[in-house]
Amino acid sequence: MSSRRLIVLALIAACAVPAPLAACASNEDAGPVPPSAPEAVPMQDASFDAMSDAPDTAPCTDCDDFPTVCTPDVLCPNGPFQSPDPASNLDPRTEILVIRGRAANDVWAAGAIGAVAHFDGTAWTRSDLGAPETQRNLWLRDGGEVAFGTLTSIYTRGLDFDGADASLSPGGWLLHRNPPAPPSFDPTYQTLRSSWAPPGSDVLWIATLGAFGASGLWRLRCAPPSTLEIAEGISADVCADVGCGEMFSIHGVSPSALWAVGGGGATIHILDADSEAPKVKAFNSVTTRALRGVWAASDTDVWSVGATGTIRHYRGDPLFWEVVDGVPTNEALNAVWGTSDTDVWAVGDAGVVLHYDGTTWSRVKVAGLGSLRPNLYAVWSPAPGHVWVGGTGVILSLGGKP
Amino acid sequence: MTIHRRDGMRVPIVFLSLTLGGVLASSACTWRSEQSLGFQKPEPVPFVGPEASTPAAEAGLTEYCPSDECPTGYTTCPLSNFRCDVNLLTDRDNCGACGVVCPKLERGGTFECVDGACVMTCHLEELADDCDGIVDNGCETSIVTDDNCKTCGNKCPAGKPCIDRGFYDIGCGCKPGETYCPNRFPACFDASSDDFNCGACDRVCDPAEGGAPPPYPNTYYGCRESECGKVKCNLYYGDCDDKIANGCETVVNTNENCGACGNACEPGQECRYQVLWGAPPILTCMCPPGQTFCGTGEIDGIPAGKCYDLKSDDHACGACGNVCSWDGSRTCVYGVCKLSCFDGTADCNGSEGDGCEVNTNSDPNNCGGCGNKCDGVSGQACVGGRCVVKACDAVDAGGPTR
Repeated sequence: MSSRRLIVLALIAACAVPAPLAACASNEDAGPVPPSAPEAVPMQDASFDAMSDAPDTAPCTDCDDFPTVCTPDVLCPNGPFQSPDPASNLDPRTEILVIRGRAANDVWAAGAIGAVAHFDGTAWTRSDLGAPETQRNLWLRDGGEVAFGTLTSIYTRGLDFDGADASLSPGGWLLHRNPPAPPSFDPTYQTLRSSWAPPGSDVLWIATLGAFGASGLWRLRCAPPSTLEIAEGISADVCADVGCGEMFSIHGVSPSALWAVGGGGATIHILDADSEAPKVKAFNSVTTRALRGVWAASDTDVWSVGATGTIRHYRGDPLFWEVVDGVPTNEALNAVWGTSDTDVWAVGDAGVVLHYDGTTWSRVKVAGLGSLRPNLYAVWSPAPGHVWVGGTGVILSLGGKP
Repeated sequence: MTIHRRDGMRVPIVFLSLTLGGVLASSACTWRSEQSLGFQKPEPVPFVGPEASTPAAEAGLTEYCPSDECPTGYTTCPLSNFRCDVNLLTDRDNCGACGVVCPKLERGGTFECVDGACVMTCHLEELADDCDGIVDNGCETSIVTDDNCKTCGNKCPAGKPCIDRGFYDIGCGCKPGETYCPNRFPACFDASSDDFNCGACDRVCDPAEGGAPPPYPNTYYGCRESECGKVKCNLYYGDCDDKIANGCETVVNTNENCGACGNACEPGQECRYQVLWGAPPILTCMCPPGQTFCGTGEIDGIPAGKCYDLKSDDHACGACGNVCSWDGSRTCVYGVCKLSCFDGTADCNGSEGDGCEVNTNSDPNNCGGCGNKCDGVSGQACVGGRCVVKACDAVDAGGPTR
């Protein structure tokens, strides 16, 4: 089981370390506003001296999952919170809400209060959006990027939109305010959650929390140099019938067939998604808990995750998703991503990271968090053995390496 | 250890000398308290450790067991969702008895249930009070009269009528230096420089003084010291060099002179109209460091709006116009809206659409928190977020159930 393989190298008893390094002394300070960024993580071979005179610290309940020492198969901080230049670091309160990439050396992360950063295969560099606006969505196009947190402020970078150089932010972002939208779209009734576009598509599907009976599925059409417009994904009337008013996540393997999940366990299959009139079908997820993330390995192998450690698996049934038992956490799971049907990652509250190896979901260790147990909201993987995880004040990678 | 099991099912809880008809435990049977709980939520008391092994009876303690009775004052009504979820002493919909509803708003008064009786309260915003003490006719007396000015029986002296000065500021006459014009809002204002009420109501100054040209550049004839015909600067102009010959030579809606001569904006700020509720727009250098300008329109081509801290403002969280909630159910935490449950409620399913859907005050399956069950005995209720218990002796005696 590959997930087991991930943890066997954790040779060090995590509690037996000096107090300043003890990850497990207490988690009482863990909260929504961490006091500082996670600590620099000692690598395995550098930690023995420190451990040699370690006192027998107080017992901890989660030492196994949160070791002090970073090893190659343990997730460790590596991102714009750990820059050698403190002035360029993101505020440790920043929530990283989305991570997406084109390749292992072209990864983007975005989050609260204007946080946008790029990884080039070697290091993370902040990209100045020019405004302290929270970003939840990243759309990596051929030749440029789109970022936004609301559909009234959309930022593009590198795309051939009309815009004077003077209006670009220091990071090269161009702000598009209030793009054209249909009458049914009222931004005051829409809280954006996440989005997905098939590679090469000009259309991004967006999952939203639609208030007062509004739809929770919209589309953003982006065709430079002139077209950037909002379009209806699924109408409010149809959403009222199938339950797509509160959508958290959307994904698919082809432009025509997508899955969306959301509040109350809503699980929606969108067919003809690349047409002007998509069709929808509601599936039974066998839960009323919120589903916050969905990722499809294929049309007949799809995962969803959500509140209270809920995981559901779709394998082609015409109506039902399968209940996954034995999930090693009760924390809320917020996002899921993978590279194949035997390599899937899920992340959640309180520093929880899970990995599926084709057989079993297993807990993955996270090192270097000190006493913090940050909520994790974003995950993206370029290839097996490589994953990026983002959350409150952290970006993590295996071994803290690219 | 002082907690021990009896009858294989009921586990008594030891309290320090109590008297009550029914008491509440934070979970089914695992805490102790020295407080009489009655209808109030008790403060948790630290658990007594194993070293405190004195038998309960010897220590003068009372043992408590799970109970299926309602505490004094609580009952189960026909429309109850849970056992014992009605407090007859404070519930507006069941005040004193099931189904007795206190009126919501009647003749200017609102009613609350106090000690099992509906009690009327008159509110200042209704501009009326209950001066005759008769509940049946509600808040019958206007409090904007010379005989009852703001409060019952407060008489105004001659020449000082009772005035609603606006924003619930009610009093006899205007404040010193102000003029009273009943057809204007606010009715009390400084008329000494008002071009339309110059020293008296409706006394409008002629800006051209009968056709005379302005004596100096960018000037007109207006009101000063309660007299018309005084030379004044045109809107957005100022006499900043104190040289009357060149008139009002300086434009005062610029970053160098924002609203007044010499009021220069700090770097990064711009001269704009600040629009605050209940006040006229005013030219201000905007915004201070850490805040973002969110525009609401223009006045004379000048942007108008307000400064927000996008990190923490519930009405502009992470972006201008991004309102977390109007009722406080979601709050802004470093640019991200977070569900914020009121006391006695919780979000147990992770869906934001139904908010904090669980009543943790009364739900025996989520008592005091998600998943906390009151199952110490069949029918054990949850009251105030605590599972109901009572003295074990009373339980053994087989007291009545409701």
